[in-house]
Amino acid sequence: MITFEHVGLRYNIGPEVLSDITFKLEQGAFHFLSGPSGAGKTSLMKLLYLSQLPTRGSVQMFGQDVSKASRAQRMMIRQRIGVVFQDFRLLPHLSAFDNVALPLRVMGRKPHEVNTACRDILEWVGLADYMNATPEILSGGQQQRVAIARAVIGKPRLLLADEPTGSLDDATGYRIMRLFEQLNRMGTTIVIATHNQQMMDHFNHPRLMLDKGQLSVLPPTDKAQLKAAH
Amino acid sequence: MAAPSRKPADLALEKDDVGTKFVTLVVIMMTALATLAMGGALVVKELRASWVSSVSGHITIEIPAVAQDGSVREADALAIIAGQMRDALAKDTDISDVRIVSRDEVEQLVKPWLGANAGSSDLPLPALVAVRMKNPGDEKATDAIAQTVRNVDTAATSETHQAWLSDLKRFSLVLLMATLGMAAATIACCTLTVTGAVKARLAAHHNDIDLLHVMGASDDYIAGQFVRLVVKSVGRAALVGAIAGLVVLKTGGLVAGELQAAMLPAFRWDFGALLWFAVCPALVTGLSLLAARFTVLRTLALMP
Repeated sequence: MITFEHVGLRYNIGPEVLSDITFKLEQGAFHFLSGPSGAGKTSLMKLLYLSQLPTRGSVQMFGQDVSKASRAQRMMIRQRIGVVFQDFRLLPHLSAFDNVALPLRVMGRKPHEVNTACRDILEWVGLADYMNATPEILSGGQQQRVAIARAVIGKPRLLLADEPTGSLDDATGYRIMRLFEQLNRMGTTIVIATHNQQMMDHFNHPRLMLDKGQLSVLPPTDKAQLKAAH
Repeated sequence: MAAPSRKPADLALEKDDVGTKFVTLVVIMMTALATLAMGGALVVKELRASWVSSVSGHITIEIPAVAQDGSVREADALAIIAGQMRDALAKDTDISDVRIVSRDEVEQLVKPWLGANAGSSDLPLPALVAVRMKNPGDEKATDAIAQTVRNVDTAATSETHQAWLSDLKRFSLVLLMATLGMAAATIACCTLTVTGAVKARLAAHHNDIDLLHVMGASDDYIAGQFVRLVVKSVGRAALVGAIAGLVVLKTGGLVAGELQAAMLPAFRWDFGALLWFAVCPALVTGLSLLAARFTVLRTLALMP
């Protein structure tokens, strides 16, 4: 579904922040993306949600080479991707309902479809009573759930989350991870960028390890090894 | 809890109060100025038409008080010749009206140059015959009239005012172009201001625009948010500016009327005039809309 082949990325005339990245994500995969600060996680995420195009190599998404795709084709690819940003990036003047409705409105869905889908998804994330609340009156955890609802409402084929549990307490973090696993079971491919070793050990999915712009793919850790380590 | 019924704009573009007020104020003032300039153009247009229609097709025949041999002809003698001239010209089928200009009217004409006592002085005044042609610009008929005039009195001359009319047309055209140029320059300034404001908002809302872009919003969808704002705020401001300009014009017209500015034509507030004035707010809004859309699309084109 997603194939990176010898991908490199540099900003303007600076050095390459990602070098020779090669990996493949199959439909329904669940990966953690990890690595030290400055390793290039955010840059790789930007390539995945098409905020940047590779400066070399090839990125294939949903059967299309993103560098060769037309502007309209890239727009269609983006509509199949959901993103949960580390800082949520909710629009402060919009209610939880309207923030969640954005992707569907962008896709040109009919108002009654948008209303039904938003109500359902806000109920699913436990925010049915907060539809008209603006982000400023929501807690960090509630904002996070609005951001997740917004990312998944369009039924994306790929869900990207950047440190989705970074600003949450453990209990809320684990609850949100379970939401992601639920989505994954429904067929959504998921990539979660995180520093949280405990979380990665607990949920134990394959890892994309980035270090100094180089990527290695690690399989899930053996359960027995994990038990021994803890 | 019930879902909200009204769809708000995705980008909080109208929240930028200082910027919105500034642009609104500039658009109101610029549109008012453009409306005044358009009003000026309309006055010049009307003035030109009234001057042309009052002169075109008219011939003035002058029977000089001093004959070709240098002798001075008395007023009574001039009146007899003027009568013969009128009778001869009345037979011409190309002429719709011929009349002798009275002594009083001639005195009124020379009054600005000779003063209030022009009539009572011993200065010999010519006799004048005013002719209106059926078809203004008919050169053959004009030549025939000149021949008739010479037949009646060899010293008499006929004046078609063509040289003056052509100067007048040139002068009024320059005036018309200048006023329309002023209106165009004002509207252009207005459009540039809106373009600047749109650029400022693009920078201020860059993160939100990037978010919509990442969600897969088309460039048209994002540009539409700005276009809607421009149509709403600039359109409203342009309308207010146009009305303000019209109020000033109407007040100015009333003042001019009280001052008995006979040189200026009466302002007709008919459908044509209102249509003429509607051009200003329509152009300001339309051009601002196009400028906003072009600016947003150009910025979005830099995103992958």
